[in-house]
Amino acid sequence: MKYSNPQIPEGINVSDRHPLKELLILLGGALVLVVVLSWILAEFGGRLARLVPFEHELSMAPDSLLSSDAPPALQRYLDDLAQRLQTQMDLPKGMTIKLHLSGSDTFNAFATLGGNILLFRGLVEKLPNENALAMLLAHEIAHVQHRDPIAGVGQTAAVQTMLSLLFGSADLSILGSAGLHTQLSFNRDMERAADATALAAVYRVYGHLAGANDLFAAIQAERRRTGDGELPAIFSSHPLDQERLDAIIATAKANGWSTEGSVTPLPSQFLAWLRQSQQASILHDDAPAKAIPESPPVR
Amino acid sequence: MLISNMELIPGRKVVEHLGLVQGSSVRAKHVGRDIMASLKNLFGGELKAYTELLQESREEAMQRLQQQAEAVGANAILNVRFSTSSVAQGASEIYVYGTAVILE
Repeated sequence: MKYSNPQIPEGINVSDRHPLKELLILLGGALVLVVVLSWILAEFGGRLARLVPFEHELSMAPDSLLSSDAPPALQRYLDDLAQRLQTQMDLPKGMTIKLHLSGSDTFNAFATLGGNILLFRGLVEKLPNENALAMLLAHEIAHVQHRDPIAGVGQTAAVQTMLSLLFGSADLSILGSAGLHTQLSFNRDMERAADATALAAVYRVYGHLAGANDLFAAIQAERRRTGDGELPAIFSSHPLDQERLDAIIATAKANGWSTEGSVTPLPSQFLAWLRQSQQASILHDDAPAKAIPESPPVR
Repeated sequence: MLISNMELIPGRKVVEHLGLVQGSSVRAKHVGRDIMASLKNLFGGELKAYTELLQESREEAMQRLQQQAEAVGANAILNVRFSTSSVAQGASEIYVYGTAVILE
């Protein structure tokens, strides 16, 4: 019998594939999986959350929203404007809108749970006329009407649950944000729908759409002023301003709505309050700002 | 290729000994299988997903064993043994080894 130990060729027990190639394939696969799952779950969570009756949503609203900085006369004016828009919007029975005006100079406005709408002086002071204010209010009311705030909560809950199931409580931030971007595109659809509903309401109230685009023009101007240019469309929860302006013109054309007409000026008490509030904020610049709830901002 | 875990094959003569040949495969389970297995924990029964995973692993290791034996010109592998170890959480190795020989 002959004994020998010939050299065995290398590479039988090891893969000849480059590890980086495998890493790319695995990461790509994980990314696709997270995006697809997020999309499905957000759709599902959103739809499910919209089934929650509005009365239940009321009890979920943050308590810190209950007060408004507006003087009674001004609050009445805002409530009245909101009421005029609501009557044109066919809100479901039992759905109530509560407006809150904050003296803070944050450039924002959003609708949140329980039909609460928060307007900030920073945004409303940039609006040149009542029509633009009405467009802003109608847009936020449309979010409430479409149940977007509760749908947003449902979407986040579903996606977060999936992410924590897949990656444990320590979530991989890259993969996590892939899921988030899928959610933002949902929100963009919500924004477009809210814009469309709001336009129809503003048209029915004023008989024309003049001034409605001043809202987006103001947002555009503010972006230019602060220098934070528009984020690329995929990172922004809102459709690009230009896209929204174009959409107004397109919708107006399609429905034969006039974009010409005389705009309604803002009442003097409104402007007086703005001035007062501005001065107060200059005087008390280092006073702690009124607590603004950290709810998902749906502008 | 004759693969056996006997040390000698009765009636056949080993004409050449070619040394140790080995095959191994390390495999991880995936999330889907884990979820299925955790559900099985509620009701009991065979964890078919894991059985299948290890079966595939063994087949792959055997294939590699055979490839090595063919590469050195053997026509049989004798005294074949399996072994396993856990190399990381959720991943296990199947290792198979034997002696490559030329039978008459």
